[in-house]
Amino acid sequence: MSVGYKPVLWNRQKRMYDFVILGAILVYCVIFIGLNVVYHPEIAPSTLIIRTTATLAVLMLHIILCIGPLARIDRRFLPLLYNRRHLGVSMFLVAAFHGIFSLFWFHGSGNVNPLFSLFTSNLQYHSFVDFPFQTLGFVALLILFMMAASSHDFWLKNLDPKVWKTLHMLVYWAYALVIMHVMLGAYQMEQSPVLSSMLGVGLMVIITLHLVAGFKEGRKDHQRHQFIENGFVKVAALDEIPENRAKIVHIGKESIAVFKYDHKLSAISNICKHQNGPLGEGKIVDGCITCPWHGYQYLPHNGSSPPPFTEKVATYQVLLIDQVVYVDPKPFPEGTAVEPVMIYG
Amino acid sequence: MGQDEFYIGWQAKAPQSYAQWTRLVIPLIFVLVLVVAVLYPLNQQGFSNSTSELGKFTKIEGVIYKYPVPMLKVKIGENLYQNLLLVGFGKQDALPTLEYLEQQFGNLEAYRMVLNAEMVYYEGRTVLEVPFSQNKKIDFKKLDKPLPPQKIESLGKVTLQGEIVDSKCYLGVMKPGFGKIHQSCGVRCISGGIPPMLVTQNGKGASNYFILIGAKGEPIGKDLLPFVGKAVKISGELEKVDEWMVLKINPENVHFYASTEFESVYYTGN
Repeated sequence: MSVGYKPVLWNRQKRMYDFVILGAILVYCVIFIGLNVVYHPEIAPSTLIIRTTATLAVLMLHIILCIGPLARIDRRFLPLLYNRRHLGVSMFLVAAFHGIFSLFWFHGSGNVNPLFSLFTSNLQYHSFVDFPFQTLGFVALLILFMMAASSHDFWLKNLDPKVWKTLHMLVYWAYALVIMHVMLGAYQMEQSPVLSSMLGVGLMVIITLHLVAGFKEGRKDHQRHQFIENGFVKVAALDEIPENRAKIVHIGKESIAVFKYDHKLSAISNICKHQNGPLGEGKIVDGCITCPWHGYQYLPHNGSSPPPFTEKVATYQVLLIDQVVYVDPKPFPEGTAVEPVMIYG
Repeated sequence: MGQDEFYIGWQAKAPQSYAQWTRLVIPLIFVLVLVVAVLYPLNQQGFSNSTSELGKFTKIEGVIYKYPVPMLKVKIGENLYQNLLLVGFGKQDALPTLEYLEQQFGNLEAYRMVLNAEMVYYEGRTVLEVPFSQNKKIDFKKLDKPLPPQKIESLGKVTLQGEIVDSKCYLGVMKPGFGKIHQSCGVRCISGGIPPMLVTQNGKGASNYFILIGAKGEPIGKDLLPFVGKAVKISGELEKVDEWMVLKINPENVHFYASTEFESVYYTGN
C-alpha cells in the first residue's frame, strides 16, 4: 500500500512465484533449443534465438491473459494473480530480446537507420496479406514496454488508478497485434496445421475464459433491486451475508459492498483504489476490509486505509429493518465516516 | 475451499486450499510449456543446409572481376575456376574494398590477391564477405599472364518465374532467406548493394539461380525493391558468365506472378 515506495519485500510466496517463472522459462528454452538442434541441425543460431524468444513470449502472454478471468471464475487462482506483474515484466523482457535482436539482425548494418528501415522496407501497408508484419510487433512491444515500465505501484499512484488501469488494458491491443504479427509473418511461411491450431486454441481459450468470467460478472450486475422510501435499496436478508464477508450490489453506476462484522453492518465502494479489485469479495482481516487481489485494506466504517496508508473509498448509509439489509446508493465522499448499523439479538 | 479461507498475497503462506490448488496448477503450466516447446520444433518448416561462416575469416586467393557483379575468380583445379560473389560487411556491397584496391592497383584483373573473407555457401554457390577493415593490407602478386577471359555466352530472351532474393542471405546468412518473413531484410540488403538474384525451381526440387543486372550491365537492385520476396515473372536477356547465369533485364519487365509459391518451372524461348 502506498505511503512510501520501498524496494519490494520478498516473501515466500513471491520467491516461489519467481522461481516457477524462471524454472518454466529455463525448461522451455532447453527443450525448444534442444529439439531444434536435434531435428533441425542446419538451423542458424540467429533463427534459433528469434524463434525461441518469440514463441516463449507468445506463450507467456497467453498465460498472463488467462490468469485474470480464471481468478474471476475461481478464487483459488488468486495466488497466480497476486504477482502477475512479475510474469508480465518477465514476458516483456523476453519479447524485448526478440524484438531488439530481430531489429538489428534484419535491419541493422544497412544503408539506413534500423528503425527507419523497419517502417520503410516493406511499404505494402494497403495490403492485408503483404502487410509489414514487423511493424505490428514493434507497436505491441511499445505497449508492453509502457506496461512493464509502469508496473510499479509508484506509477499506479501517480498516474491515477483509472489511467493506470486504462494503460494496462492496452495489453489486449498488444495481444491482437502479436497475433497479427505472427499470422502475417512467421505463419506465412509455415504449412503445418498443428502450428496454426496451437495459436487458434490459445486465442479461443482466452476468448472463452473472458466470456465466462464476463457472464459471471454480468449476472451480478443485473440484479433486480427493490427500492423503498428515501432511495434505499434492498440488499439481502441479514443471514445471507456471512460474518466478516460482504454482499455486493450494483445499483446504477454504483458498485457497493455491504459487510457484516462484529454485530455491525457497513457499506463501502466495491472498487479498490489499487487496481479496481472487488472489495466485496474480500474479507475483514484484523478489523480491516482486505482486497482479494493484492491485500489492500480499508476500515469498514469510513472506507479509509488504516494509518499511515492514505487510500480512501466512498461509503454508504445502511439500514436494517426486520432482518433485511438496505443501502442508500448515494455515495458519501471518499473516507467519510458512517456510523455502522448495529445488529441486535 | 472453506468459506473463511482467504488468500492475501503479502502473507508468508497461502491458506491450505489455495496452496493445494496452486500445487495442482503449476505442474499443468509446466505441461503446457512442454507441449508448446515440443510441438513447435517438430512441426515447423525445415531449413536449407547452407553454411554461413560469418565471424570466421579465411584467406582466399583469386582475381577480382567486376562483371556482372563483383566476383573473385579462384582456381580450383587445372584450368578450372570458380567465381565467388564479393559483398561487404552487413547489408552493404563490397565497393569500399574494391575502390580502395583499385586506387592501389589500378586494373584489378592484372593481380592475384589474397582477400580476408567470411564465406557463405550453398549448392555450389559462394558469397565472400570482404569487409574493408579486414582488407586494407593484403598479399598480392602481379600476374605473369592474364587469366583466361570470362566466358560470356548469350542464351537469348527468356521469361522466368521465381522469387527475387538477396544473394548473401539466401545462400546462407539467413534461414530462411526468402519469402515474406525475410522480405524487409532482403530489401535492405539489395538496396545496400548486395547482388539481387532470381531463384527458380525446376519442378523437380532443384533450384536455379540468376544474377539480376540491368540491360546494359548496370546494377539494378534499387529498381527491384518492391518485388523482393514475392513471386515474380521476369523477361530479359539470359547470359552465361562462366558458371553463373545472368539475367539482363529492364525493370519494366518485372511483374508480380499470381502464385503463393515461388516454385515454378522456368522456360526459355524467343
